[in-house]
Amino acid sequence: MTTRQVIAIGLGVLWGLITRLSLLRVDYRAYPSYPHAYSTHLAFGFIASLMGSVAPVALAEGKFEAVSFLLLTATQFQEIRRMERDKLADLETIELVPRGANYIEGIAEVFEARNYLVMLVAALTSAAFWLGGPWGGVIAGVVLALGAHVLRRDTTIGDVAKVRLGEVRLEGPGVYVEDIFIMNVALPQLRDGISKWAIGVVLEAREDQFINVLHNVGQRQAIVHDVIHVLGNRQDVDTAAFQPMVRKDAESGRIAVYLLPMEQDSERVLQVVSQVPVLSNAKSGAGQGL
Amino acid sequence: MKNQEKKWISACVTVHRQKVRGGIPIFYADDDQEMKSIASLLADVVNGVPHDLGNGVYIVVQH
Repeated sequence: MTTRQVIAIGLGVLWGLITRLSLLRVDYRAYPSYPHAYSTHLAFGFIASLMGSVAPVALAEGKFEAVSFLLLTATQFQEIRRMERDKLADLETIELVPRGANYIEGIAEVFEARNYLVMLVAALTSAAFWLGGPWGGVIAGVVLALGAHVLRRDTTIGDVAKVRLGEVRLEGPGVYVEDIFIMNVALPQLRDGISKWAIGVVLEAREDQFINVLHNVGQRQAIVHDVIHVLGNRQDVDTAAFQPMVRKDAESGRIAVYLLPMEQDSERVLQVVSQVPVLSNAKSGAGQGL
Repeated sequence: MKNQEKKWISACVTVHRQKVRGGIPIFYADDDQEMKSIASLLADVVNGVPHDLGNGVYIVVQH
């Protein structure tokens, strides 16, 4: 093994790991938030960047079997997707407000995709060093790591819909957000709680092609899960009437979100709803522009 | 999607004896106040939500 090979692989691994680490920021969804999850994903990131950076060096030496090793690694990354999916699906059974299958699949998909991204950054960095010298390697690493950040940005609900507050009204036993019926609650004490704590949000698609995104049931579940996850929930295991709900108005296609967050701050509710990612499987059939 | 929300009526509380019959637990109350308190207790016990049918009949539904 020559020094040139060592530097090419080392540079690739370094930039691959930096990319993985920067993509592993704990965000408001607080996932993954545990040290063990960190170590698992960093270990996989290390393997991905090692495989990625070895490939161009091996290919340059005429060792074409490197390609089959890349394929082998790709199957391992599908395992990451399964691991994340199984873990989150297991947790669903004890969630008062579940994430929903679409959200889980979306999260699992992102974890898999990020490893491919890391592998690509490592491979291109090491190839750039091999062809363009030390500076080529460093510049390629910086540009690619920044590029990975651009790719990381999700489209959010705020991009596809106008998000505004809607008045929660009680008419007899009926609970409405503006004119959209949410549910029927009979008891006065529950209705008192609702009139005191409930916050309504109305979503209107910015363009017709985005209506499908808002109407996707998985997407709607993801919205309530995220808001409740950030702002807390008044609902307990025995107060199903306080369960957050999302209903649509069949006539106008508007979506009404009804929830009773612990933190009674309607501005923050709007902020969180706007920042909920648009799930990739809710986009299907939504047309161009996402 | 279709069966995502499984719901069933676990009990029925009414002040009108002639309005409710059938295979679910039925509780008869003498007045509105008693109907509300029975519905509230039942809802707490079975973790359901009481709904008002508007004709003097409350149903407790499992969501």
